Amino acid sequence: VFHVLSEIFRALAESTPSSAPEHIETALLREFRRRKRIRRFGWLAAAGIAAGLTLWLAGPRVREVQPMPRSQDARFLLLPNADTPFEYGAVIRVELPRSALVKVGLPVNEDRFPEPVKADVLIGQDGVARAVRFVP
Amino acid sequence: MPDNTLQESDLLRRMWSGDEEAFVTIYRKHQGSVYRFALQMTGKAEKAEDITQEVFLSLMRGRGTYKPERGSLAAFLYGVTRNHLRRLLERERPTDVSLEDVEALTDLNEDVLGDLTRAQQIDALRNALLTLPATYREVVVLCELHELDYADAAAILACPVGTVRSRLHRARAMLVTKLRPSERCSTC
Repeated sequence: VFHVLSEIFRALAESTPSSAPEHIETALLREFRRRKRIRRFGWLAAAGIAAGLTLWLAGPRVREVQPMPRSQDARFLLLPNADTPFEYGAVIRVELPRSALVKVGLPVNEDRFPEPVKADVLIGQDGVARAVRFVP
Repeated sequence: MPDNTLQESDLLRRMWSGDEEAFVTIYRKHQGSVYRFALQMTGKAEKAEDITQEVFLSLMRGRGTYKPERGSLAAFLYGVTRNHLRRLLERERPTDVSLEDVEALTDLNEDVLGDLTRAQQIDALRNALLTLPATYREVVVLCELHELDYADAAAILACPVGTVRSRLHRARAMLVTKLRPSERCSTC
């Protein structure tokens, strides 16, 4: 009886479809491309932050000595490229020299000038920084 | 490490770096085994499709989870498929035939399928297979339907070769019992 069973096993194996339906491959490829876009966007964003902020910080600095008012702690400030349209973006937390506060017109406590400041930067999918929020 | 494994490691490395062609090559090589394993274990195309998708999504996301030194990519994918299947099958009802019943009832010389055409025999076997407990069903699917040798099946099932052999023997006996005319399920 096991011999007969083996023959039917073979027939059953042959009757099973040999491949998954094509729409599975299509769906997986869509996901693969989406993930690739996100990964590329991450690199672009990092490069954009580095390049954009370096240029931005290279300009003239103005120092003020008042402490940062609490009311401005959580506000996003628009950067020069803020009006350039973008499809999607991400907010990335970075550490910046305290002089970055000066560049957006915020007061700086001179005693803490050597310390970096944490900031959330909104980056478009094109890698250009659109807005920044300094984290107290 | 075998050449095939080295090639697959290279393909995986490329895939994880975003090479779409590498992903398609891996997918097209292994999707058939994964899908068939899932389909033969569940008996449902929709579930098999979901599991196939999940297995390759896990591979796509799981950079570094496959270790070539532990075995082939095919065995790894069978293992991942099995994990998905076990989660799914745990929720299903167990079989109502005990091993003692099987051993008592089975007359191995009996022509249990003699009254059926070949197409009916295939259907009857498919249905009987789906009523086996998962631990027996998977060994039948891997060894009989996918024609893996005992050592490969043992590696996938993470058990000794002797366990594969004994489970297969019992599974065949259970199938013979379930295929007796008086035991066949007319609705499943």
